[in-house]
Amino acid sequence: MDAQNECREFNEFLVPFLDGELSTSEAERLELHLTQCETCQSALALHRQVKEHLASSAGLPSSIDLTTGVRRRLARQQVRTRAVIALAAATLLALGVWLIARVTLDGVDRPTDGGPQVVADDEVIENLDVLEFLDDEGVDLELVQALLGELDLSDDDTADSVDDFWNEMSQL
Amino acid sequence: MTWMQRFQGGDEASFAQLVSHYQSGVFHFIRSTLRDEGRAEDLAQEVFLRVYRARSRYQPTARFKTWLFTIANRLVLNEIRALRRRRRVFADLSINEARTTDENESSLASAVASDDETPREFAERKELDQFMTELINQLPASQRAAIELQRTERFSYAEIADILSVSPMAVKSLLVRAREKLKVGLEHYLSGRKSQE
Repeated sequence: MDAQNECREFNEFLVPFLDGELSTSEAERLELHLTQCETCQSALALHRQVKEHLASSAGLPSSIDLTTGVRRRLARQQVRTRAVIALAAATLLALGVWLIARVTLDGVDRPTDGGPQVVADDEVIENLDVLEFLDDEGVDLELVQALLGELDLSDDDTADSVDDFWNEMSQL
Repeated sequence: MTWMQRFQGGDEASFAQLVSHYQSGVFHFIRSTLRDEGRAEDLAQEVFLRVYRARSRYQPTARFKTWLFTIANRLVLNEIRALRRRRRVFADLSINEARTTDENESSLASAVASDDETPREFAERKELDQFMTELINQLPASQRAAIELQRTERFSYAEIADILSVSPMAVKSLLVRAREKLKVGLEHYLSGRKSQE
C-alpha cells in the first residue's frame, strides 16, 4: 500500500483511536503509522482539539426540573384511567339491568295487535328495585336509560347478540 | 439494587429519585438532538412517563441508563418524523424556526474566564465555542445524537449502538463522519483566525 492510500485508510480510525475503541494491536499499528506520517499527526491533533472542545462544552443545564410536570401528567392519566373503568363498569351494569328486565318479561304474554305491553305489577316493582339499588350505588341512571334506549328490545338480532354476549361473560 | 428495581418493588419514592437524577441528561440529549427547547421538556417528561408505565415489563438485563436513552431516542425520532411530515405539508415553514436561542449553553467553566486567561483569550474561546456549536447544529440528527450521547453521557460505541438501534460499525461511521466535519470546520476557522493576525 502506498503512503497516500495508507493515510486514507488510517484516517478513518483516528476518531475511534482517540475514543479508545481500537484493540491494543490496532492501536499499536496506528501509532506506528503516526510516527512516520506528519499528515496523520496533524489530522490527529485537530481531532484531539475537536474532542477536547466537545468534552469541555458538554455541560448539562442544572436548572431543569421535570418532577412537577411528570407528577402532574401521571395524576391526569390516573384520573382518565379511572373514568374509563367507571364508564366500562356502568355499561356492564346497564347491560345487566337490561338482561334482568328481559328475563323478567320473557314469561309475560305480549299482545300481538301492537297495543300497550302488559307487565305484571310484581315484575315492575322488581325492576324498580334494581334501578333503586343502582341509584344507591351511585350509578348514573341517565346513562343506563340512554343505553337501554339505544337497544331495540323487540329486535330478535339484538336480543340474540346480547344473549351471546351474556353467555360469553358467564363462561369467563 | 437500582432505583428502577426498587421502583418495580413498589417504592414510589425511587421513581422520584430516578427522575431527579437522570432528568438533566435526558433533557439535554433531546434538546440538542431536536433543537427545540419547548418540545424537549415535553418529550423528556414523556420519557419518564413511559418508564413509569413500563415498570412491570422492565428487565434489568441491560444497563438502565441505556434503556432510558433508547426510549428518549425513539421519541426524538418520532418527533423528527412528525416535523418532516409537517414540513412537507407546510413547505414554506422550516424546522429551523423551532431552534431556540439558548443552544449555546455550555458548562459553567466555559462561560467565565479562567484565572490564567486574558480577556482576549476568553473572547476568542467564546467565539470558538459559538462556531463549534453552530457546526454541531448543522450535523444531521443521527450524527448529532451520537455526538451528544458520547460527549455528555460518555456512552461507548456499543451502548450508543443499542440506543440508536444500529450496529457498532454504524456508530463508528456516524461519529467519524461527524467529527471529520467538525475537524474540517475547525481547520478553516483556525486558518482564518491566523490570517487575520
